Amino acid sequence: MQELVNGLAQGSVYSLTAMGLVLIFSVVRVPNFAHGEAVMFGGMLTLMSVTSFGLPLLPAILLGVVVATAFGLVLSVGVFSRVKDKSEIGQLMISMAIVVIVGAAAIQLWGDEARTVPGAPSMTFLVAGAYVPVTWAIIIAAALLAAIGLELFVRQTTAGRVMRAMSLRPDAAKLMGIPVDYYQAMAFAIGSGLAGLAGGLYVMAFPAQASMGHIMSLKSFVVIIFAGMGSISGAFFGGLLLGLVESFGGSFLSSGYTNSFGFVLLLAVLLLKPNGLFGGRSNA
Amino acid sequence: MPRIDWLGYVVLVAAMAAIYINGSGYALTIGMTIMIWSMLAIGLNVPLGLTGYYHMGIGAFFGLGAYGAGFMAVRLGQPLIVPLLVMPVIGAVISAAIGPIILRIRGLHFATATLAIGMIASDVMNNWVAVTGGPLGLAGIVRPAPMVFGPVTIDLSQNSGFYLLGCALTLALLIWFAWFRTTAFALVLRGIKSDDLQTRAFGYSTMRYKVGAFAISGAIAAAVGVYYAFFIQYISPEPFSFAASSFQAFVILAVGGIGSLWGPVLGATLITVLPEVLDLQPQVRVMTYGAILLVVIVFLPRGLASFGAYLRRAGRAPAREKVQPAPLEQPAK
Amino acid sequence: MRNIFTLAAGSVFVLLASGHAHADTLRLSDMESLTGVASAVYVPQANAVQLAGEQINAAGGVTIGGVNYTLQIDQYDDRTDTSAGVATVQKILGLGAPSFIMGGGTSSISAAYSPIIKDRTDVIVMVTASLLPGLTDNPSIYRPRVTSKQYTDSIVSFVTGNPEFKRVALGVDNKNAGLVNEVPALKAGLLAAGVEIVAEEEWGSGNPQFATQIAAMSRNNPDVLVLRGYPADVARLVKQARELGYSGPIVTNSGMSATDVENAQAAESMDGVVEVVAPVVSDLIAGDLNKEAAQKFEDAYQARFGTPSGLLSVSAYDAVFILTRAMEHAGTTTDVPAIKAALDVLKVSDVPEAVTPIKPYDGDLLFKDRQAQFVTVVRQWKDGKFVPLTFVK
Repeated sequence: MQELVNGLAQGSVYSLTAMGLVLIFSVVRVPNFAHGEAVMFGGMLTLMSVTSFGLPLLPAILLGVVVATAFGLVLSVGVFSRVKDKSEIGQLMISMAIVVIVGAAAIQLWGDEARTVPGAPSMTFLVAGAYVPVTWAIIIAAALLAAIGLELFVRQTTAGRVMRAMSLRPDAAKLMGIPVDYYQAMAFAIGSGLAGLAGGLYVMAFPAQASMGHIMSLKSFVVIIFAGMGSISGAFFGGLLLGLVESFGGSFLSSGYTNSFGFVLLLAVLLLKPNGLFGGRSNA
Repeated sequence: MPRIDWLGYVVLVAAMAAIYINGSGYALTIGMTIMIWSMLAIGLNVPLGLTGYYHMGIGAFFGLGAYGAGFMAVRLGQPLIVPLLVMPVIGAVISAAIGPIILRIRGLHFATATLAIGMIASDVMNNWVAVTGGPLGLAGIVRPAPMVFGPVTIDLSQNSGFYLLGCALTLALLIWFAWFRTTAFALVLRGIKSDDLQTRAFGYSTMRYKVGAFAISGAIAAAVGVYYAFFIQYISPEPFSFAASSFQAFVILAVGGIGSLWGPVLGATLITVLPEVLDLQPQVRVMTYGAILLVVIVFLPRGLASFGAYLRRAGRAPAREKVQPAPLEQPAK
Repeated sequence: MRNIFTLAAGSVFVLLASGHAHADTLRLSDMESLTGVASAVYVPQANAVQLAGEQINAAGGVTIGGVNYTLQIDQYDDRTDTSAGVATVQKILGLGAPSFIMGGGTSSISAAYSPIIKDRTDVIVMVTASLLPGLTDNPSIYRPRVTSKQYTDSIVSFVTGNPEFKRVALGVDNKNAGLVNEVPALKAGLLAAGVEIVAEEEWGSGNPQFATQIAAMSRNNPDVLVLRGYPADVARLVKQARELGYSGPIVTNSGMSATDVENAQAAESMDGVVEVVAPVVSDLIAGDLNKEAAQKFEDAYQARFGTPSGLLSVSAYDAVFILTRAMEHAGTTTDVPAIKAALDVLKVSDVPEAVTPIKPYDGDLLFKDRQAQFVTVVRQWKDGKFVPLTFVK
């Protein structure tokens, strides 16, 4: 039972990050390896605003989300919209170079110690024999709410429907006169904002550090690939599943191989269902 | 008959000779590091450059070769030549075994699957203490004793001798690749890169070719791992982690020029030498390194190897204003 | 981080100065992982070496064989990369004999350059970072730093000394070579005293979430958790263990400082946790052992770099004094075998500047087979700080 809670908490962080990435990936179609840096900004801004500027936790998290969103906009408008002519691999390389630069700048600014934000609520509930720290409950609830909200957004709003159209038929969307750049920037902003939220919530319970970005990117890519690209609920459940597999495997089989369990799951899914666990169609 | 790019070889051999004549341990170490990365990037070039498969797990095979060499040398007392012959075969066999399973997918899916293989391999290196020594690694890998052939003595125990072995391997691999990419086999690989389905329609069993390419890269990576193990004489899991190996090899190839002959060497040289010569405050140096990568990728999308073509194009541009841009199809050197 | 800029400006200045170094300059090369995954641990060590050099110079330098020398400390970054570390050592060796290397890099790096310097008589490495066993078999390597083996003995005697600790759950950082090497000895020591090991869990350095390990340990109803790893990880692990309902005793071996506990927001969870470790600066001050030197060091460090010193700061700081004192005794900066001979017979009382509590070997010797040994401390977290219970001398 405890393993279930552990897996859901860790998995919710993966979910939040991966949902942001899946939105960016399906609408803009760039392999944005710098996505994890938005998580890092969310986490580090939350941390530094509390510890260095004495901001209360909630505004600090908001600030983190705002900065992560701004980072996403900069990536979209300043970088990826200018390199549309590059090959996929070129775009991947560009995002990797950004990871190198942003990561080093963050270490220069904030150091690279892993830190948890002070002042987060510290109660723990006992639910059916499992301990649930309240921060974990917040993370799980936020991921669920974000998943529902994002699903509603892409299904019920005009902007969301446009984005779905763009993800299904990018060329047609352009021919229809849709201002592609505008919606791509919006997808980047929302996706990065979600990643920033993931970082801000994460740092309440777990440590953030300046060099954490690329790990978060890797895990998010793993989630959206095995969950099936182009599906928000897929990314949500995929993130949870990854967290659960790591938790149960690590606890009952061998904690030294915790990471491997996720990757074995990924390989198994790719071989049995190449379009992903929850993906009917493939964008690949 | 392929056009042989003599100039490239002459420059390369001259550079190799210059390092050898300099002879300092530092120059030789940097030289060997560059060659290790060059060879690994050539290995990566077969599935990635020729076939278009984003292999993100070459570090697993690099590590396989290194650990195989370490195990044979330290636990079984075998000389260099044994793992150098055996490990590439094992690398190829393992690749050939998993190839048919994972080569059904491509693009980012394939990249992530190979990433997973690399990650699992890292966990095994770190946790299978009985064989790999875990984080303690395997120490005491001893280079071969001097060999005397009449008037010629080959002393691989010294850096200078081991460096020459690296030169020989690198040159052999380069010449092999220059030949290989003109073969009918490589032509099919290129066909797969541009259109797998169509290539199959022409009657080629593309899976067999793809597995071949994957196995070749596995063999090369394992061989490079053997050379690395005897170069560094101690192996532990860190150098084979994703960031330190697979990612680095990918960056080197992308910066050097994917699919090109000289890209691996140029990329390896830049990526190895850059941090050594950038005499800046540590994190500023990392940022500068990232910025230089960015500049290369943005302005030389076909890598350093296309620099000559880029200059030629730039020189011609004024005269051919508003005309079609120069064809990108010419093979990068 | 203004202090790092100052540091950078300082090293640039040193580099410029090295162009026209005078004959009375003694060059020490400091090899550290200033970038890469281990940088958070090694930058404070590099700072301490820098500080020692500046203090010695401010006090008029060192006089060796009748000549007054100014120390010049050149920093090298091995980027936490094995090949780069070997290249760095080669680069330092290439500057011309003799070479004196401080810091000495992570376990992997030290093991990789070890064969290169094994047969050389013109180099001394003062290793203060790597805990790798067997490293001091190399005649060029001296280690004025505690080994994980000393910790193992202290942990075993502490745990077996408590009759209530019959079921132990073990947790070890599986990427820390020094600690992994000690697992068999630790288990053997506990088993020999009739203690049962009910769980054996691992994690990789830098792991953010330990719920998996904690669940597996708690499931087996241990009397005590024994946790060995990097300070930041162990602090986080303790916090999460308390959050996840483990309320029993915890024994740690990590070298946690108040900063590590604060970074993990673990202060409230730490109450009662007992740690067995080589004393860090705060223990020395609180436990009145080398108190004056420790306070002086910490004040100077904080004034210079604006942050508290790190786990690996003091031993690196001491190493500068130990090496230069041996040179003074040998009366030479160039005759490396003579300097080694002086190190071999150096007495603990010869280096009063040393902050770490060095436990002398017979005859007050500082090194035996090039390895120093240290007093360990058993300390307990109470009301927001560690309180030394006993020093094991």
